[in-house]
Amino acid sequence: MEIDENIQIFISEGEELLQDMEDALLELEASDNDDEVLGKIFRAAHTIKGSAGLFGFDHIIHFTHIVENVLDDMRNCLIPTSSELITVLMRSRDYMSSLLAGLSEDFEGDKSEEAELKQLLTAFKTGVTDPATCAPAQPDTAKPLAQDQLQQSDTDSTETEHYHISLRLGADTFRQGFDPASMFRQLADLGEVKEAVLIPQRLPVIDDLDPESCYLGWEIALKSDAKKEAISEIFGFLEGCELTVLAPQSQFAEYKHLIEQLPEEEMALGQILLQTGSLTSDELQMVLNQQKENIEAGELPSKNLTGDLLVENKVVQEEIVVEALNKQIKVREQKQKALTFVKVDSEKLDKLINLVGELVINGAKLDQISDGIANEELNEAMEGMTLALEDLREIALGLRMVPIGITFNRFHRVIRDISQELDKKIKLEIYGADTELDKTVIEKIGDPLMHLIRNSLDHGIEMPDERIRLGKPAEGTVTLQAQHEAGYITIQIIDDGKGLDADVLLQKGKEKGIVKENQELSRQDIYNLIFAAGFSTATEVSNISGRGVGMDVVRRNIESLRGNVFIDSELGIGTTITIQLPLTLAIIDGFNVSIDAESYIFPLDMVHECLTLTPSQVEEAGQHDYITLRNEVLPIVHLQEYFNNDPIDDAQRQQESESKRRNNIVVVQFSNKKIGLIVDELLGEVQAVIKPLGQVFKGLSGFAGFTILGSGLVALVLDVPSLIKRVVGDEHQRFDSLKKKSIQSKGNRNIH
Amino acid sequence: MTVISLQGDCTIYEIAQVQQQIEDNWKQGTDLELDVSAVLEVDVTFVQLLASCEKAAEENEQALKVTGPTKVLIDKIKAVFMQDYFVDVTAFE
Repeated sequence: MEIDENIQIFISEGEELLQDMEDALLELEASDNDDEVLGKIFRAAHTIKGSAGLFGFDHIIHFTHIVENVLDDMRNCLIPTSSELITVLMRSRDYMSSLLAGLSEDFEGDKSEEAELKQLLTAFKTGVTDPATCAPAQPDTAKPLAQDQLQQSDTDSTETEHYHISLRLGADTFRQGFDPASMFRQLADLGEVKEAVLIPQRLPVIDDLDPESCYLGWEIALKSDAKKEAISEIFGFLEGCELTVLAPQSQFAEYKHLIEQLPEEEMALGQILLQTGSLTSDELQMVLNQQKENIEAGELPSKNLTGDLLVENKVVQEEIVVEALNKQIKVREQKQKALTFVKVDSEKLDKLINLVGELVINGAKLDQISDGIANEELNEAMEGMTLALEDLREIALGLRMVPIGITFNRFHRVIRDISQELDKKIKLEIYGADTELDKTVIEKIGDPLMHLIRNSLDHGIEMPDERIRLGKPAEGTVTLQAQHEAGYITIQIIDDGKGLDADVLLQKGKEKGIVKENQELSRQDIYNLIFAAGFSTATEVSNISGRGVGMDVVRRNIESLRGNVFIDSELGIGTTITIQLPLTLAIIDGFNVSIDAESYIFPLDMVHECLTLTPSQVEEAGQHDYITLRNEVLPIVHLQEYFNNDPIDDAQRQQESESKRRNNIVVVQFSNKKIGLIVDELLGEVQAVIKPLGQVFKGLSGFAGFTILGSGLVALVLDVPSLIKRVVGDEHQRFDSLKKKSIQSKGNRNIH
Repeated sequence: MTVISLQGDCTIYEIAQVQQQIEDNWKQGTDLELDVSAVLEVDVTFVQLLASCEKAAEENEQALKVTGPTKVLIDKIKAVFMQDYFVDVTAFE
């Protein structure tokens, strides 16, 4: 199906609403029958249904309607909240999501799943009909408000002797041939319409009006002996209408719901309820009092017509109006907040950032040219432009930054589902959800994170009885945390499970032929085996993980984002997986150096200091792979050697030291590890637009990409974390081989 | 003051043209008088359209006067309890 822009917006907003719904469902499970949370879930479903109606997606309307009915009954305390019900609602949410996703492919959903869900939802709906049974499934998680309301049944009901009907007609009402006048006639047949107040808030002015669409709604007081069902039936075949029928002597809670759920943003429903006689002023006061309990004390609202009217008429006390208006203020604040956001196609942002990148390159070029022309005015203008360009770059890159919390929150659901599936008790703790990261990185990190978390849940966390036996709390904990660190963001997945057994891993590695019989591996290398292709230690393959496919992909995905992944583990205590990712992929502040007349760029965030070596240090550097810097040993790398892979003999090095070349050192730091890199010249700061290296250089490690300098020359951007890893790895290897040699020589001595 | 005379049936089948007629002729910044004496059949879409004019007039601090409403129109407005919404419909006075 051809998807037009409006449908795209419907799909993307629908997905957002479904995400809200999922979050709220999880919240509901944790907080029991929270009215506000239930309201949020209901509104999400309701909005999706309403929007689907605009496009005539009948299959979505139909299914969502069933879900909405169950949610409505939950709100009205007719169905108790239970873990089973939440599971069914979660599945329904997923199914709705699949319906949205299917729109682009004309796929109307998996009918067998739909039928099963319908059956389950209907079973819940018909299972409980007596409001008196509205108690949460587990007695220890009782909902205080609902129980209070039941206990105070004498004071909880209103004295209203008529039905109160709150009706908002659907947009297609007229087109379906329905005449609202006939609706009033039918109501009159059942009793007496005491009052009907038009709700004109949705009605647009004539220029914006679609005259065939219906925007009308009423609050109606009907005196009737008819059953509630008979009244509801009048509206039964009306599609897209919002209807609440409150029976005579309805509970306050139901009026409270009505006021809270009022679809019109600033409508004085309380006043209308008075006008229709549905509530007496005392009753309204009680309703508002109840609402007051639920509204946290906020700042005092500004004057409001409705409030003034109520106070002037001495209907309610001023402070009660103030509290009741808090909701309206919240709505208005939300509206204002919504107005300050603009949705932009991410492709446009990419184009903007590419253009800023081009500007940065050309700016650097101009800067260089202006340096060559001794013209004060030109230099001044150039300086101004450079500053503005820096700001522009910051802002442009900031546009793409999104908090990682959105990705993290998805895992609440994953943990809930998997712990149920595995019969394990697991809780998720999240820290640093506000940490911002480039949108592209966030999008690509979701899947690797999912895989790592599933692994932690499946292989890491033990069964509850096993945990108790080990003296651990029965409930396992998985912690997700994010934080910034020198131009990188660090994401950690920490579990308090059984940890990795290095011996088992090594054994498995040897069995699989990944590790050679006599190969010496550091502890870190052994842990890293789990990232090797085809490596899985799980004896049983489960749905969740254990297929041995994926961990290698996880590492590849992370590395393709210029990131790194490390594992630390303690047997019996738990495992920590650390992912380090660059904050942004596009433009960085760099530090330019030259080696053999070639330029190289270090990410400035990682440059700890730059030094010119003293003659004694030059000598030390010539003899060893370290220097002593302020009484500390600093490993050093001769970058010229490193890149050319052409060891210089001592004589040559000596000669070069004398010619005072290569006596500059850049100390870089990452993850508490420092190394010194010996370079020829320090050329200073530059803004570098990182461009990816082509396929030809795919296997090349140590480089993050390349950039074009102001001079038009190409400079390679160094990948400091991988350089440090390499150097530290080399050290380990050398240490291991030395240890081996020393053991061998000891052994040889013993033999002789 | 803009005076617009509407004629004939004003139901969902004609309502778009009626809206067009009002939009085309309502001079900006003037009060509006809708002469509906020649209107024959109506349904609620017409009542809604009148309400929408009322809303526009209110927002622009202008007046809307509906003159010569037929019994059919008045009955329809009353049938949907919308008589209180109109500030100035001659027959309600």
